[in-house]
Amino acid sequence: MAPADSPSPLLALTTGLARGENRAWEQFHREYGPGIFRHLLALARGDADLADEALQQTYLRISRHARACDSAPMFGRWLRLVAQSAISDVRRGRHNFWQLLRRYHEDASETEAPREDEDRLQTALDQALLNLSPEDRSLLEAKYFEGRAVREIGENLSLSRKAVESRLTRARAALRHEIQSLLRSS
Amino acid sequence: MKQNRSEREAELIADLFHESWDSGEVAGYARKAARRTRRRRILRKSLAAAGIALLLATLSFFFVRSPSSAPTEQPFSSANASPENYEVISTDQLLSAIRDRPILVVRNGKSEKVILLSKN
Repeated sequence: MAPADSPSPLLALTTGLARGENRAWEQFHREYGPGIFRHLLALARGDADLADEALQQTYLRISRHARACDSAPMFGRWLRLVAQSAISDVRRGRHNFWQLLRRYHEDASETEAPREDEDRLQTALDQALLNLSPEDRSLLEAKYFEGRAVREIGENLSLSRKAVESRLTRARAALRHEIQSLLRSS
Repeated sequence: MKQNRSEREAELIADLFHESWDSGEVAGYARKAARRTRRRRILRKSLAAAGIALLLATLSFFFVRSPSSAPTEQPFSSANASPENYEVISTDQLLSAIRDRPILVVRNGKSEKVILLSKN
């Protein structure tokens, strides 16, 4: 058991972020980065380049404003806010006035858009997984949802590690293509 | 660390759009942010140190300067400001004191006038 005065993992992480410690930032990228990217991709409606640019901006804003924090819900909400503001600014930078105006016209309610976008991405992910071949789907589910190691999957399928990684790469490419098609058509 | 479904989906999505999430180009964003944070901290500390140094320099300037800059032409110093050394008189008393006595008015160059009264 940890001593009573040792800081919580989140407090240690956020303190490290505020100090600019490489290890804290690597951990943050590993543990929180995928969630932020997913949120940004949903807001970007499948535009991975936009989501990437916004992710970079989000990290830079976090670097500017990070403070020690011990509340996971508060930290999570703050990250979402930072990500939303970053993608809005990146989008603003990319679009000219008229394009922006048209977009605001399309999105009558800016405050409700993020939830809708999240739902749209979730639906696209679920549908895209269903559209994959059963082999690809079971491979991705084993790796990502059952948390199995590549070596273990290889042993089950009597395949080498390299062959499993190659199949995973193909399955991910197919899934990405499906998700983007579904998001574009929605 | 045990992950929930949502976190695993996020990891899958991150891997779909990036060759290597932990070490690829996207991981460079985190390294860049860490560098920026360190630079900002150094700058903030330097500015704070400079501010403190400036404050100390200003304070020491005024403290060193204040004894020598004490006014030399004070009409009353604390030594002669005791009630035995001065007297408050009325206008009538003043007029009677200077009546029939020569008065010398001297300009001291600062548009001020000094009035000298000869001894009786």
